[in-house]
Amino acid sequence: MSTLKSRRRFTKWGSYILLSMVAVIMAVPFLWMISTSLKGSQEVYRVPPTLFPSELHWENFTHVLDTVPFGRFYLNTIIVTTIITVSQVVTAILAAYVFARIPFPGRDTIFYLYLATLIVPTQVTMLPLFLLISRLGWIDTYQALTVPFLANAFAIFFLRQFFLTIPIELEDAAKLDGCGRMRFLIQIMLPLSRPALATITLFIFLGYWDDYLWPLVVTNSTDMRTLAIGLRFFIDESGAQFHFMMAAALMAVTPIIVVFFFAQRQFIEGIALTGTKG
Amino acid sequence: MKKFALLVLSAMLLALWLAGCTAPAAPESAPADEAPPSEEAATDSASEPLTITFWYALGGSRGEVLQAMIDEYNATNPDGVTVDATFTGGYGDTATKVIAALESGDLPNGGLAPAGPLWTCREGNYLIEDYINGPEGINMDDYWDVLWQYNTYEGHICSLPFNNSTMVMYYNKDLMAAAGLDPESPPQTWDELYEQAKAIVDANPGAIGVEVRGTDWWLKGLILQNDGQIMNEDASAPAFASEAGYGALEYWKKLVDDGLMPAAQHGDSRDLFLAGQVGFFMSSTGNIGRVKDGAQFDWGTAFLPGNVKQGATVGGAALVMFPDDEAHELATWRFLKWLISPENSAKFSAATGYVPIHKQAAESPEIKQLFADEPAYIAGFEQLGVASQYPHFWEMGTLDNYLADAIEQVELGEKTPQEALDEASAKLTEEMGN
Amino acid sequence: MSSSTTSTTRTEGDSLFTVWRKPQTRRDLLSGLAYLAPSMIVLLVFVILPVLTALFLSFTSWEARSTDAAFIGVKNYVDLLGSGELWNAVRNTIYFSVLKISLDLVFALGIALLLNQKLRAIGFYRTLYFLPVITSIVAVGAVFRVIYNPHFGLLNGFLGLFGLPPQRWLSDPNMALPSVTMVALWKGLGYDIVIFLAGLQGIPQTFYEAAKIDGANGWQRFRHVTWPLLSPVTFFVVVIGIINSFKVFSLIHVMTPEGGPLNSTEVLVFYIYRLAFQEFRFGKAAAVAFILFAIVLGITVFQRRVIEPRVHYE
Repeated sequence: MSTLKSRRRFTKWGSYILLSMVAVIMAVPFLWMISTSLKGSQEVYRVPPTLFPSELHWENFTHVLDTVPFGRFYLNTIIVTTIITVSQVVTAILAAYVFARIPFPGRDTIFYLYLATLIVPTQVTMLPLFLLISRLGWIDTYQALTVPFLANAFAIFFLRQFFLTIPIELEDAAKLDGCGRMRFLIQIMLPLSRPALATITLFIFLGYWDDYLWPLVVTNSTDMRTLAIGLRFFIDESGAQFHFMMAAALMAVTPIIVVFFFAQRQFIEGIALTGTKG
Repeated sequence: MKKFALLVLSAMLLALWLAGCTAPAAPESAPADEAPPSEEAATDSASEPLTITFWYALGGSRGEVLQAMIDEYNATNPDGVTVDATFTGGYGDTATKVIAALESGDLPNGGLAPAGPLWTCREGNYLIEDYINGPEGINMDDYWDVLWQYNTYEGHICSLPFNNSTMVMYYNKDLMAAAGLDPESPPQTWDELYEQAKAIVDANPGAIGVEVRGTDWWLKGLILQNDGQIMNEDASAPAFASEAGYGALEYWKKLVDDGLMPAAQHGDSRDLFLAGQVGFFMSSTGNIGRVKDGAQFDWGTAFLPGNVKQGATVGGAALVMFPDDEAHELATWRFLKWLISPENSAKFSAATGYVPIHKQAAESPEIKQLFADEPAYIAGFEQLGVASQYPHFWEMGTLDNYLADAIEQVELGEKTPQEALDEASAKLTEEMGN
Repeated sequence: MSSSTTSTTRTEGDSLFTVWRKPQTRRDLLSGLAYLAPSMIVLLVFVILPVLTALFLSFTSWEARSTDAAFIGVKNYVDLLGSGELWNAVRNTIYFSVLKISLDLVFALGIALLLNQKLRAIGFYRTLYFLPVITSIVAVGAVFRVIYNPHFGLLNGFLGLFGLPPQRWLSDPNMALPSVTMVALWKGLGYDIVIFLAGLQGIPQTFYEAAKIDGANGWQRFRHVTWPLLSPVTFFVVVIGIINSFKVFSLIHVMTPEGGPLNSTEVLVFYIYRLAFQEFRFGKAAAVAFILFAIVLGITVFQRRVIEPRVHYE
């Protein structure tokens, strides 16, 4: 009995140690970001770089706020990213449901088509897409920043995989009870897919939060710009003004960390403890 | 059921929104005045004051300097013109944006863009030349010849110089002193560079004699210094696969083979110099600010060491303007002229470290002050006198890539200098023929 | 075991006509299309249309201005397939993908299993592991350049402790690509860890309990419960992993802006970027993109045909 308990404690401590060691590697560049954001311009270009700033230059953050209209960029980025995320999740739920549960001839071909949209690199589709947006008269508008991304096969593929793991018996039983497809989808399937939904929402949000090239090409006025473009302002020909750039990057990324920390607690731990899906 | 209705409702709203916001297609010919803020629109409706749009590819502290100048112009120009300026990313991103705009017709009135001549003259837009020679023109002789060479395309002047830099040699005085060299007399010839670099490497174990940031840039300088040319007169064919070119690359190879310069490691060159490990560092004047902030040792700048003669090429972006109605064009021209006026260009150079483009700039109080406070800026400026530059041509980027590849191949012993340059020249000729 | 294809092949083999006749399957067809409509419209107009335009461009000599473009048929493709540059890019990309995905699967799954426990502060750890994903790519590039620096970098210093000679890492034509790949692996790990975590949540505890009762040990539980039930997610990670690693660009661009010594880190999208945005040869760049497309599509079809039937869906 004691060997079992001590073995369990060993694995527990083993896990902690292993996790901590690797966690250090994971966290170091981020810590470097924090450290750099507080350095003065003299120190930031020193080579080899110092680990901790010798003096704390909090004014780096205010400088960033003064140099670029951070507030406006924040607002734009939140609006644009939220619209895209909500839309992609909704359209993905609908489409993934079809690919997982509504068979019809040609469905597989369509699925390939969807997957194929993920393969071509944006560097090549950007120019034709830009011309299309320009013809629509959408340059410098929220539409240009959002409409082309209202749906995306990544989310669809992702949710399809998760929907496929939900027992088909559930749906058959629901159908016998007279439950329509849409109702089944919303009231039964979605709650069972909470981890997947939380994950994909986070990923989509992340993916467009720091999108840089497209907003740059498609907007001209400062009012319409996003955070990623604001960050680029701190790079000049000779390289990045690291201290300002990291200060800006930290301000941009903090909400995401907060969201992630709470989200993973809500959705992941929530499911594990209640043990649904039995 | 309620949820379903909600879904359908949102879909309908979405559709309506999309439909409602689809404006009629922007006319291809007239470049649109991109969305000026509402205050400007109100001013526009009055008779005189115009708004012109201006894209600039300058970020960081230099971008701030430019923005401040633009603000000053907006506040003080006699015509009441407002310049609506937008930062359009770095050089590469701005080029992308300009290309996209050329295709779609959404061009700004003016801009500070890399490879300016390619977006104007190549498109049949000779506005700059017209206005230079027009009633409100400028005297080209006031500006360095090499800069006009740079802003040329197929024989026409296509853009204005503004933020240019050239490559100089940074030297580490501490390392020189430790090697018994005179820190105030850096090498001026290839042989001297070799000797002094060797002395440094011998005296300081672990030190690097020579490093470079922008390999193709230095090679071009070396070719000029060896009395060669990079491209022919009108930049229609490469000219670097010549005796002069081979000699330049041979010299490069010698530095590497004799342990004075590391092979294919130049990505870290600036960091290494800042760490105090490099004796002589070839790099753009644009790095003076970085070196000033980061170097913990005594250093200076000088001309690139010459051979048959001194030489260097230039880099930087250019001021361009795009067609619009006469009022907007004139307003844009006046703004550009203001930017490159002796006083303003001097102020800009002093604040940013770009070389002063006006010959009399050295007389201006700002530049005098700059040279007094930071003598490091003098070398780049004076080197303009011995610099030369091939005009813009479409495959410029390709040229740079091929030269860099050739250098790498020689450094790593994959090819001889002659083979490498011959191949690069052949490839480029083929590209240019296509 | 119900195969993945049960619910999908009920009408897959039937023709459209037969499906239309039966009211039940006709309802399915119509619902299916209706649910697909929103995404289909967006993808058709804003993705497929530009892709087709780009495909057309790849048959021209489009160089930044359509006024230059001449229809040149398959010349771009012929030139590319005969050029060392393209195959260099293909080789680099395949090397990158294989190395990254194989290591990623092992580490991401392993760490996810560790993080799936109800340990104290596990949420804190999970966030830490996700940090690389959101760390600014410029910061990542800068930090790892320092780590890899041949003269004062941490890695060489570490090697020195064991008496191993310093390496040139990013400057060595043979080491540059693996070095960059490791950084890409590091940066993307958090992503797949989260995906695996989500997948692990979906495995009902009852299965594990039943297995324990049957006397299965940790490894056996993994092999017979976790691995099969996780396979839909694993399949996703692999397929998306391949697609994304074939499209890798930004990280490589930040770490080796010149494409690495002797172009050893020039992957396909880097080559496309160089052609399109430095040399302004959009027609040729588009052709490279479609060669990439063909390769990845081929791999994806292979995965769907050969591997997916072995994926364990409910």
